[in-house]
Amino acid sequence: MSVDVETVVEMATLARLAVPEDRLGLVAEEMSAILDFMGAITQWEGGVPSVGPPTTRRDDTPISPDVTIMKSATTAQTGAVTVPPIKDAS
Amino acid sequence: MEALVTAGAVRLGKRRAVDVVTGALERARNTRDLRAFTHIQAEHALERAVAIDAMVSNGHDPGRLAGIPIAIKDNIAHAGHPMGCASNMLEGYIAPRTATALKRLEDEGAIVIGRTNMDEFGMGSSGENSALGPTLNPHNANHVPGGSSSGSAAAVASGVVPIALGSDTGGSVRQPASFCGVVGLKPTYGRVSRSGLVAFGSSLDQIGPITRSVRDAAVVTRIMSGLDPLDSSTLDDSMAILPDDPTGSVDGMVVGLPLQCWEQHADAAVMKTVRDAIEVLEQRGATVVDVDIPILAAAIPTYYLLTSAEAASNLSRFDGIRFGPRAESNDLMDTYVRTRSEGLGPEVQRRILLGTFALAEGYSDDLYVRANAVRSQMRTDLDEALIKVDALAMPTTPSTAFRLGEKTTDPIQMYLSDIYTTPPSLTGHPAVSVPAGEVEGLPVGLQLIGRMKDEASILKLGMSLVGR
Repeated sequence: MSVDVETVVEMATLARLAVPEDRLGLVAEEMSAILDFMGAITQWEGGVPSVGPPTTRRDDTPISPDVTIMKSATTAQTGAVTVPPIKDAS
Repeated sequence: MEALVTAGAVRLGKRRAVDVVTGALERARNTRDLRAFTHIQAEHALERAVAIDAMVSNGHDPGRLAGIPIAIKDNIAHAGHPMGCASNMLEGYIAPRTATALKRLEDEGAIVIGRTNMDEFGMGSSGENSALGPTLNPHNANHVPGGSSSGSAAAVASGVVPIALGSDTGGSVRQPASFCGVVGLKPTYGRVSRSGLVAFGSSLDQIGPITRSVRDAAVVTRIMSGLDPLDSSTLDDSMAILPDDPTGSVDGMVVGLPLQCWEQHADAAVMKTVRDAIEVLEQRGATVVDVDIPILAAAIPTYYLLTSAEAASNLSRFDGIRFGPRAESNDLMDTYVRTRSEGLGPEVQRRILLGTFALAEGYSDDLYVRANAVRSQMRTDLDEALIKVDALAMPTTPSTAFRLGEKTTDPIQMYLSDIYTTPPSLTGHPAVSVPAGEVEGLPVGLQLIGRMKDEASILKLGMSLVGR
């Protein structure tokens, strides 16, 4: 599995890392060697990934706002708490 | 002396915790050339020791580990103390809370005297990837102590403390334990809470003890184990109590030797030493049979693909905003990139790049998804093999501790030193490394892998061999 310099730059950008230009070739070479070694994984079929406990979902129905919370709100609008603007924000 | 014996003496008022802790602090100072510790907490430790002695004087029981000095790996949180993961990225960071596993030990009277050196963020097999410099092997300072829990193993092997905590993602407790001639246990995944452990590969990480005796490892793990609301992967039941059988009989137990671990890779002298140790178990009543688990051959690529992918994700939080020092810049993205590039070491950056590649569109099906499928099959195959046998046995490492610098320029050779320790990490099974002998003055470890949640069987076999 060959990795070129452009791929190293792309991966580094995704990972928020900077690889110095004079090291790009070396890193590409090193990653290629490691991925060649890791590539042995493709010889194995593997099994079915284990299944976790089933997810229980509740019905997707609207819930009335908690009246206690609404009573505590300084201001409210159309059944929702009004979030005050950030101080000094434009 | 075993920690439990010392704790017993402290509980009865026959020894003072202050004297026990003072001795440990003195030994830590005398062995500082090993670079086993990143930080010594003398003041904190002595304060705790005074408090424990006061409890005993007032007729209270401080707990099963009363006055026992322990060391913890630098990736385990201890409220109010530095936690650096041996990385420049976390320089000056102070942990805001204590890891659940450590809190349970402190509640039983254990006293932390210091934090131990390690491969940065747990990534390494030699202890050489530390921003604070490599730890040295107490048996021969020209050789590595193993990693990533390098300092924990060196601190126990050099007699500074009887118990140290490490973390094991692919052998990071067992491999250094083997290289340093001590006991290292990786409990079943979920046995010990990961809350307060800095994540490397979350689906594999486990905190485990490094000790001088199997009995100490069993008790420490039992204390740390159990459900924790802060870690949803913890197991509901606590670990079985290890029966104390002074005869060392393992009559009726069956030990399997996986062909894949005995046919290749390991040094001949290491193989012979471990085989001799298994013969001792045979003489004490165990039956030894060959088992065939072909998928073990896929362990190293599977392990490095999955852990690199998890590390790439887990370590994305280290960007200079919330933790550690920040490289100043007027541009936010530039701040992230410069902080990470300056703060993270070469091996950590290498694995993040590999993990990012393994997860990238176009490659993830062949690499990450495939590795997960192989991991699942490996778990099934190990479970099946462990129906017929009580434990699987093999060398912990293919060689004794190698020389400092011997493998630093060849990452693949370094990765291959984990060939026997990665399978149970991938599958979640418990595994222990116990001292099995020496080759040319360097320790050799025997690894025993047990059934899920059955630490007791492998510890029983280990105790039969080690005798304590």
